[in-house]
Amino acid sequence: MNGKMFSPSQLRAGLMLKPATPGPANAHYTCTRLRVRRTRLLGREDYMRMLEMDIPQIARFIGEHGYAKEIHTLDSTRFDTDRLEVVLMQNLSEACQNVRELTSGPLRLLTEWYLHRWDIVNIMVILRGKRKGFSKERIADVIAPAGDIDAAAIRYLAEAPSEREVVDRLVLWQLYPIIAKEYAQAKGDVNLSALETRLYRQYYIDLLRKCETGIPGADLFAASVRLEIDLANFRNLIRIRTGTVPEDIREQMLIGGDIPLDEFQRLAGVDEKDAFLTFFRGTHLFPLLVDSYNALFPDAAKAKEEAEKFIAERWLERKRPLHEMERTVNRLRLSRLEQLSKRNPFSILPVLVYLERKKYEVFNIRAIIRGLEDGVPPEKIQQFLVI
Amino acid sequence: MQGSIQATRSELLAVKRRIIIAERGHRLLKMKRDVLILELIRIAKDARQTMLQLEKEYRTSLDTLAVAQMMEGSIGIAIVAFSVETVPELKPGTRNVMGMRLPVYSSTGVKKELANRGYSLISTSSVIDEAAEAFEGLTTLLIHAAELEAAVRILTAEITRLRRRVNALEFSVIPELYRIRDTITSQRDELEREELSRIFWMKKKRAGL
Repeated sequence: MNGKMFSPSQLRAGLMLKPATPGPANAHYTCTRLRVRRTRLLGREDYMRMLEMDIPQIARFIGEHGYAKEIHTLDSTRFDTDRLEVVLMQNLSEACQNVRELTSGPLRLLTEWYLHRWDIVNIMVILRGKRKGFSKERIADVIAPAGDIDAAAIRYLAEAPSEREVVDRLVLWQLYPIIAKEYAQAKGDVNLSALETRLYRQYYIDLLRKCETGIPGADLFAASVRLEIDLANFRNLIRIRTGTVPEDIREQMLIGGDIPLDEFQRLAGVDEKDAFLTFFRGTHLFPLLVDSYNALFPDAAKAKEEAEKFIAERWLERKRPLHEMERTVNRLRLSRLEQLSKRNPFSILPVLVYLERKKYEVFNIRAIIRGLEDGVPPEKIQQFLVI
Repeated sequence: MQGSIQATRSELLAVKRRIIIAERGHRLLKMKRDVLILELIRIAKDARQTMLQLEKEYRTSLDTLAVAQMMEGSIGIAIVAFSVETVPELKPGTRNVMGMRLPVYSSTGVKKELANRGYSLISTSSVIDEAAEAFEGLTTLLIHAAELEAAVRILTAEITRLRRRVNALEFSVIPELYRIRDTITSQRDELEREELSRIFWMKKKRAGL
């Protein structure tokens, strides 16, 4: 640390960490508004139409479907896809901030914590950018202020002269103790990849803890988060296995899933098909992965057996997870969460479903634009859409 | 050259010595040229294979990048690019082929393990690993291709130079030396005949007296 101190008021004046507004949550009003917004998001037919268009047509189309403000900032005579992507992320950030403002009370607390993952992304970008000596403009280009730390505060952080100064300015951030500890213990440069992993681990621990506060629907959301954690751990284990497997893989795994980390550690060394399948069949990932295989290969006659064989083969051959399958898993996970939100209409779930759907709307538009630009066939692009 | 030729024995010996040296040089240069041609054929074959592979890998890398851009966007890729901590290093060296110094590039830090790429597993998907691995492979291949291309260029230039020198020796220098040798020999023969004739006439003149 460079010793420069900032008072909390200075940091708040820097527009960082707007205080949550506790109070009675008008959950009915918020959830209804967000359900209406959810219906206004682009649907399957819209994406199918977009796959038939060229990029300026897509820009015009999305301009008529909720992206008008951002599309109008672009040069209509020459569409730069990088710029288009930046404005899409701006739209997403604005939508997230809007939802944050719309919620109040306990809903807001959980929403804020959920959006907190964007802060981790942004802070890591700033830290990495500072280490590389990138300009604040270059850093600003890749930042999406969709989290708890808003755009002005992000700018304030990006203007810091050094990496350590960024850390100093984060003193009021919820995950500051993790960063402060890493920077205090580091003799040379901090390992940013390990720091990022630690931040995410703590983020998920806190998110699950926040779900225990009795907010309606939080328990269902917690189950979805635990599934997300297990899926991420399983996916990362497969990724780790493609190279040299470290002695202890638990350091790179998220905490809080239903599958204990020791099980993943044990599984890392398993090279027999039967042992792998015994483990795999016993997890709650199995039905989801079978369903995603079925969704991806609808012609498969015996989906369960073929899915088992397919996943076991990839495991034994130490191949990477199939990207299309990763997307299909997300699609299924999200549609299940949506079903739950319909059964619990006045809970946190409609808020989170809207946020997730909005995120994937932006990701889908981005996938279509990028895919068409790179000449990827529409049928293949379709496999990467989370609809 | 001809104007300065002196039909002396020492000149004849000098020309003969030059012929021996020229012929020996010609033989050596021809051998060197042949060895370099063989080396060029070998490298060119390797270079061709490498170029074909490079083209294939380049297309594959672009495909993986397209998928990565679809899934993570250029912003996601830029964030991952921000994470790269160790920059690959290229160390130029040389290897000797018949006195020719051909380039050898040894690289470090091009191909990395997942843990050394600088990004966290949690915030990225496997599509990034695939794109990173594809481009690492492409870079390694590119370095090898650069090495081979530089070797081909150097060898081609050297073979052209050698061919010119061999041809010059074979069709100009050595024939010219033989011609000089023959000229000196014939001049010396002529002088010898003149001397014999002079002695004969002198003897005859004395006998007549």
